[in-house]
Formats: sequence, structure tokens, C-alpha cells
Amino acid sequence: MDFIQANLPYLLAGISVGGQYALISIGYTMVYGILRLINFAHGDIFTVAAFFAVYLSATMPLIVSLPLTVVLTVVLGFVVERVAYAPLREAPRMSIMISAIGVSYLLQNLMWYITGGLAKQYVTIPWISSSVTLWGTTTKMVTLVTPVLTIILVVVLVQLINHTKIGMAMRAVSKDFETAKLMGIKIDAVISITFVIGSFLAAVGSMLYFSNYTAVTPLAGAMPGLKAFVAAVFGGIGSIPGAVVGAFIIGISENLLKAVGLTAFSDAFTFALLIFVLVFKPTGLFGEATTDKV
Amino acid sequence: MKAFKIILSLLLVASAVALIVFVGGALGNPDDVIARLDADNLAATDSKLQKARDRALESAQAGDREKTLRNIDRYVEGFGDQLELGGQNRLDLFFYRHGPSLIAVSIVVIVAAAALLVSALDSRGRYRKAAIYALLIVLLYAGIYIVENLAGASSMLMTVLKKGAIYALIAVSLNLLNGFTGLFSLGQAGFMLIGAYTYAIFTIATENRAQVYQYYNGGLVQFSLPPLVALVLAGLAAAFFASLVGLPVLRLKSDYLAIATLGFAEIIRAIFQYDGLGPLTNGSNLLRKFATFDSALFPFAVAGVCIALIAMLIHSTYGRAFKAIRDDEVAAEAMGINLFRHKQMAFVISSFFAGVGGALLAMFQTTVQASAFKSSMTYELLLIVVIGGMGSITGSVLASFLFIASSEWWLRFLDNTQMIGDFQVPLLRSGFRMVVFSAIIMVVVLFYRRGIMGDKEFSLKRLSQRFRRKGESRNA
Amino acid sequence: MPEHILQLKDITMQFGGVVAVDSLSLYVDEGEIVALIGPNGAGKTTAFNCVTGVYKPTNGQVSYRGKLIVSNHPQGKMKTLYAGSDKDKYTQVLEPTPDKITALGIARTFQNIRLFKTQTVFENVLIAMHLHRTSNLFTATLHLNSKEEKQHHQRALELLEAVNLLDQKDELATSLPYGMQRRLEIARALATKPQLLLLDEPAAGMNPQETDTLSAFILDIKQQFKLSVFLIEHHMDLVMDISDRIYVIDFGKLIAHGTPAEVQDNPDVIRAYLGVEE
Repeated sequence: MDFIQANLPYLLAGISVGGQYALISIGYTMVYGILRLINFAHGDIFTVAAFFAVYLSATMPLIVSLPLTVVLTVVLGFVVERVAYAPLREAPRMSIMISAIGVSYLLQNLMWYITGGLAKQYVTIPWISSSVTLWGTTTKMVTLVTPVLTIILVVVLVQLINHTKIGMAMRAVSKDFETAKLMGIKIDAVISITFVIGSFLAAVGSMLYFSNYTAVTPLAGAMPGLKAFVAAVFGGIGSIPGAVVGAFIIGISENLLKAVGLTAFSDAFTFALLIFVLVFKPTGLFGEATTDKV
Repeated sequence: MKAFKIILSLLLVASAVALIVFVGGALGNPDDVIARLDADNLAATDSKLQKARDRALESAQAGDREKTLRNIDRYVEGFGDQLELGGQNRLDLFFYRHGPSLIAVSIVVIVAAAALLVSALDSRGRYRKAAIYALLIVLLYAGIYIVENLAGASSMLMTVLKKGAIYALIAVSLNLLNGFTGLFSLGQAGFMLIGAYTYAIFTIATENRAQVYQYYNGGLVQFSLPPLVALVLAGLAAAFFASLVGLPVLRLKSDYLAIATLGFAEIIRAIFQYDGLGPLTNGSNLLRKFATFDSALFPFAVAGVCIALIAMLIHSTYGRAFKAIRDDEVAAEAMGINLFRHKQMAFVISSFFAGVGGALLAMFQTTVQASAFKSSMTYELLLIVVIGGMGSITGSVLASFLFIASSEWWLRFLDNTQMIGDFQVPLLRSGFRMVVFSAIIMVVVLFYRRGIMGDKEFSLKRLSQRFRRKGESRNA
Repeated sequence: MPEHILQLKDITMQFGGVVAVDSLSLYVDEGEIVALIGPNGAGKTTAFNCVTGVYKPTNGQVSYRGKLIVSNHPQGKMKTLYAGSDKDKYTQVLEPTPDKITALGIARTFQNIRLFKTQTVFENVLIAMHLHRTSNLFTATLHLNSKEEKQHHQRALELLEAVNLLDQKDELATSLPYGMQRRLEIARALATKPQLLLLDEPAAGMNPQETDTLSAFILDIKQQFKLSVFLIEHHMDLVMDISDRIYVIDFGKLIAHGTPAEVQDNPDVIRAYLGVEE
């Protein structure tokens, strides 16, 4: 009982962080499924969302600022795709990945410029940020809300993909880009919607993630972003349930590592896991194998 | 014509040697100047001037030319109009100040003469290219030396040149992978870290170890290696890690390779910061007091040799195999090229030079800390490679200097608030430089995807051809 | 009896539930030109890829001059999924990568031309010389192998002359017209010093006149370089013209085998190509 008592906070934190990673990693996995692109800027969009919330809430009530944050983040994701990725549709894959790295660099520098490189106090969202005691452990409400909200959003998303026309188009494009194009699917629209959904989830994830912390810095999202990507690979890139499962596994195990005193290696562990998966099961937990034609 | 060339070259050598002898004599010491100044007037009345004079003498004896000159200048300026330097003094000072530059010029003249001699005797033109290259190289290094003497070793120009040369080496090593072999690797920062730490750990002077490793009882390593040995060791350590890392990851396809190498770099960073390895790595604390360099000639020489080696590799049969893998893996394999072995080769070699580059960077910074080698460092290097042109060595070199010069120097003004009269120029404040800078990079990535050089190399032949073609079209 | 230069035994290639090549056995003798024909999707290129190491066959063996070079039997998931025949005939596993096969003396061309696209015609051939280098990384980097390098350059030029591409040597490989690209691919394959040449649809996309020239060209290089040739082709004129023997497959299965005349009159072949007559 003592053991559980001592480790419960870490487990709860792990589940919570896992849910937040899940929301980010869906953006990675959907974009990868369709464009075969690691969207290196996704983690930065997640951070920008936090700054939107900070700056908007300074001038308007939360009930306005938070929805507006989501809208602006979605617009940002859409614009990034249009400006930095769409022109490179026919270019080699390396070019578009480099463009993603460039966008990430630009967003980071922009955030640094606007904040002056200082950490900003994150907004306190009522109820979500309030404390709650559970089996003798005090934690924030967000810890309990995150997994529930994540699962609701994922279920909605999976329904959307499996049962709507646009979802069908998405599946078609991710299966075979060229053929989908020939079949008259509006590729650009599908890609835009993918980015919109990804950014929406990143914005929600950002609110939950940063509610756990007091402050946000321009580079705060880089590491969670990378980890969310690892989660997507771990689960089998292109698969939404895979990304979610992967994210929870990573979130929980890195927090348990902290519980046993290996905090210095919690980041390294994630990457070690990544390499392990890539080497022994490159398709991840739920991914599909593809063969190259010669 | 031949006789004329021979005579001219001999004359040039003679005059250069004369100059060296003369300058060498005059270089001697500034004691005479100071003594003569003392005699001329004016035993310094002001205590400050007196101090400058004493310091000048002191540093002249210690052989610190730069300091001597600074103090003589201060001394002379201190008198203002009262002091008229005599002709002899001016001459002596001039030679003392510019002597090394003059010797550098003489050496260039001698090499030029030798090149001329070669062109005169070598009727078949076999050594012409070698002679021209030798001349250009000597010209480059002499130029750097002279500029350093004029501008001072710690001037902004020299800082940019030093860092630019180091980045050039690392960018070229990354280009070997990304541009020439088509392996999208993002692990360069990790290998630089290994190089930087290996170098630093093995060159901290024994007497300083207790101080540097104050939390770890003076550390584990209790000896120091000569800098050049440590530099090679830095490369070897990075190459060794690369060969281990390469075994699993090089079988992965493009973007998986990118994320796996990125992950490895992060793991390496975590390991080097790990407290348990403190006696070796000093944990998350700084490493300092290791051997460094003063003159830009050192990084230029090391980077120059390394880049030349990479260029020679790329122009060998192995380089052709790398390019074949980049162009079409399946076809390359069908032509009998062992994919894994050649990828591993490129990866290990690239990491070796990244390690050497990391060591140079540590020397440049004089301190080193693992937390600085983040993935953003690799991103920066990748952007340099893209700006220069994937698959162009000269492009990477050019882009490195441009990148460093812009980020450290030319765009600095964007970070300072500027006033025009009462009007404050909008936007300009700390951080704006990097915003503009990254926006420029995005423009290059999106609209000039081939970068400065594409996959072509800068060469005199191409340049002269281009000029000739321009001339022709103008005549037509 | 002299050994076959190439022999396939019960080669089966199964992708998931699809059997692309089903228990294919055939051989090529020294100095022969042998053709493998069949309708689209019959599994010809797949069979090729099993020989050259691009695919690991699910079952079966390949030998080169009597020496076993490729061998496999259904393993792992395939053990239950396997739909081909000769399931328990082989136990050995031998899976060389394509470069090993090339090093043995088997070179190939590709159906959808795969030249090194950023390289010139000359460099394309030169790259294939890499296989027969004697220099190592150090001697090559320090350019201590200039003698060998010169020999390679010389041989590349000779090969380009043999395929009549000397005038185009400094052009970008992909800027050549289609027919020349095909010839360049053959020159590149020859640079690996093969004894057996595998041609994957060498006449694809050519008009009848070009095909005639190609027939003569194949015969010519076969003579000149003392080759055996194994080819896949759709152009029946070319196949009938130059082949010593022909194998016909349909849906991965061998349906006929013989001299051009024999195959031409085989009712199974006619049915496969023209469909069943009512």
C-alpha cells in the first residue's frame, strides 16, 4: 500500500501526460499518413497555442480567449501548410522535411522575439487548474480530465474518419496518394483538413499540458513534440489508435522512471524506445507493412 | 619568354628574401624605440603614461607583440601633440607592427615565384594545376594571417572567420551524408558533443583538473594529451560511436533514419550529463581550462585539411559509389555496391569529422557543456547545407561563413533599438535578428531550393568559362 | 554434361496471399540466349528479382554454375500461409543481397530504366567499375590509385564505344533519348564484368525499327563479351529472332518451354495470350 501511495502521483502524472502526448501525436500521425512528412513544426505550433492563450487572456475573459486560441492555432496550422508545404508537393521528400525544420526554427525565433526570451506565466483555467485529492494524493483536476477528454476526442475523430465522406477521402489519400488524386479527390482540401484537425488537437493538448506547469517558454514544446512523434512511431505511424496507445505508454513509463530516480534518463528512455521499435518492429504496434516495387 | 620567366622568378625570390632578412632584423625588439622615446623628451610625468611605458617594456620582454604595441600606442597618444615621433622611431615601429605581415607577403612572393618557375620549366603543363593550387592556398593563409594582424585576434571579423571555418568543416561533414550519400541524418550535434568532450577531457592541464572537477575529486583522467593528438582522438571517439549507432539505424529508410539519429543525439546528450559519469564528463557542469587556440590559422589549417580530405574522398571511386546510392539505391546495389557497408562508411567518416569539428568548437568557445548540443544545432547545420546546396562542398563552406557572419555580425543591428531623431524604428529589439534570419532561410528553402551552388562546385575553371561566355555574348 | 550457368528450382514467391511465381524451374546454359515470356502480371520480373536478390523467394533454390546462391523455404508467418507446392523440399536458407549476386558475375538491367540521374553517361558506367576496385578507402581517398583509376576510365570509354555512346559521354544520363538510355543501362551492366546478363524488357517502348537494331545489338554484345543472356520481353519479333530457347509463364506457372518454333505452335501459349476460344 505504501508503495502505491508513493508511486501514485507518478502514475497519475504519467496517465495525464500520456493523454496530452496523445493529442499532439495524432497531428503527427495523420500528417505522416497522408504526406509522409514528419512535421517538425508541430511541437512548435503546440507551444504557440500556449502563448496565444497567455496573450489573449491578458485582455479578454477566458470564455472568449480560450476558444479564440483554438481558432488561431487552427489558422496557424492551415497557413503553415499552405505556405511552407503545399509549394513543395512535387519536390523530393527531403526538401519538405527541411522546410518543416525551417518553419520550426522560424516559429521558435518568433516566440523568442515576442516574449523577449522570458518565461510567461500560464493562464489559470478555473476548475481544470484546481486541486483535487485522490486516495490521499493531491493533484490537479487536469490530471483526471485529460485521459477522459483524450478518449472522447479520439473516439469522435475515429468516427469522423470511418463514417464521413471526408474521412473516407483521408483514408484513400493515405493509402495511395497518386490514385486518390486520379479518382478526383481534392488532395489539397484533404491535406488542409488534416492540418486543421491536427492543430485543433494540439491546441487542446496545449491547454491541458501547460495547466500542469506554471510557466511557458518558447522552447517548452520542442521536447513534448518530439516525444509525441516517438509515440506515433511506436504505435505504428499512420494509425490513430496506435498513436494514442503509444503516447500513454511513453507518458506513463517516463514518469515511472522519475519515480525510481532516473529523471536524467526519462528523455533518453523515450528515444531508446524509439530506436528499439524502429529496429525490431519498424511498423510499430499497429502499423501496416508496405513493400517497394522494383 | 622562358628565360624571362626564370629571371623574373629569381628576382622575386631574391627581393622576398631580402625583405625577410631586413624585416627580421628590424623585428628584433621595441626596446630601442622606447629608449629613444625616453631620451627624446619627456620622461613621463604622468603616472598612467609611466605605467604604459613600463608595461610595454615588460610585454616586449615577454614577447607579447600585441600587448606591447597597445601600450606603446597608449604611451604615444598620451602625449598628444607634445610628442613628435622621429623618422627612425616611426620606421622601427612600422616594422615591429607590420613585420609578420611583411614576412607573410614575402612568403607569398616566394611561392608565386616558385609557381612561375614551374610554369617556365614544365613545358607539358603537368604541374600547372598543382602550382596554382599551392599559390592560392598560401595566398589564403597569408591573407588570414595579415588580416588577423591588422584587425586583432579578438575582433568581430576574426571571430566570424574562426567560427565560420569550424562550421564549414561540420557542414561539409553533414553534406557528405545528406547531400552526397542521400542519408537524412540528424545526429550531427551528438557526434560533435562526443568530439568536444573527448578533446576537452584529455587536454585539461593536470594542475587544473582539481579545480575543474571540483565536485568529483579532480576527475578520473589524470594526464593531458597534446592538442593535435586529442583532436584526432576526438574524431576517433565520434567515429567509434557512429559505427555502433550505424549498425541498427542505417538499415532504416529516410525519415525513420532522421528521427532515429536525432534520438541517438538526445541519448548521447543525456548520457554525458549523467551524474554517474561525473568523474569523466564533469556531469552537467562546464568543462574548462583545456588547451585552446589564439590565431585563426589553427582552425583554418585543421578545417582546411579535413575538408580537403572529404573532397578527395568524394572525388574517388568511393565518392562515386556514395552518389550512386543517393541517386538510386536499387540500381547501386545491382551494380555490386554493398549498400550497408558504404552507408556505414559515409556515416562513420562524417561523424569523425563532426567530432573534430566539435573539438574545434570547444576550443573556440574555451568552455563546453553538453546541454548546448541540442537538436537545434543540427537543424542550423542542416539549414547551412541547404543554403549552400546539397551536394556542393564549396557551397557548404560559403554558406557557413555567410550564416555565421549574418547571425553574429551583419544582422546584429536588428537587435538594437534605433532612433532616427525622436522616431524609434519599429520592430527593432532583441530577438528580431533571428526572426529576420529564419525568414530569409525559409525564403531560400522555398524558392531557391537548390541553394547557392546547387550540386555544382565553385572552381576557377567554371568561373573563367562563365566570364568568357558573358564576354562572347556581349560581343555578339 | 556441362553445368548450367543458371538454374532455378521450384522458385515460389508469395506476397501475402498472392502467389506471384509458383514453383518455377528453368535453366540457362553457357552461351545461350533464353527468354522468359508471358502476359502482363505473369510474374516475370518477380522471378528476375528472386534471382538477383532483390526479393527473397518464399521457397526454392537458385544455382549459378552449379553453386547454390539463393535458397529458402517457408518460414514464420508463411509456414501457415504458404499456398505454393514443394513445401518441405528445402531446408537451407541463403539470402544474399543483390550486390553479392552481381559480384558473382550476374548483371541486370531494369524494366523502368534506373540510371543514376544526377550523373553523366560516363560516370554511370564508371560507378559500376567500383565493384572491381583493388584500392581501399585510404588509397582511394589519397588518390594513390591513379593507375587503376586510369584503367577504369579507359575501360568505361571502351564500353561506351561498344554501345555507341561515346559522343554522349559528358551528357547527363537522363537527358538521353529512351533508346540510348537502354543501351547505357546495358553498358553499365557490362562494366561489372558479367558472364550472365539479365535483361528486363530491353525493347519496352521501342518502335519496330529500333527493336530490330536492338536484336542485332544484343547478339553483338553477346559475342563480343562472351555472355549468356536471360531476358524478359514482350516484343515477340525480338524474342523469336534471337532466343535459343523460350520459357512461357502465366499466373506464375510455367506453361510451355522449347525452341521459338515449338513455343509458337503451343496451344497453351496461344490461349494464354489470346484468351480462350469459344
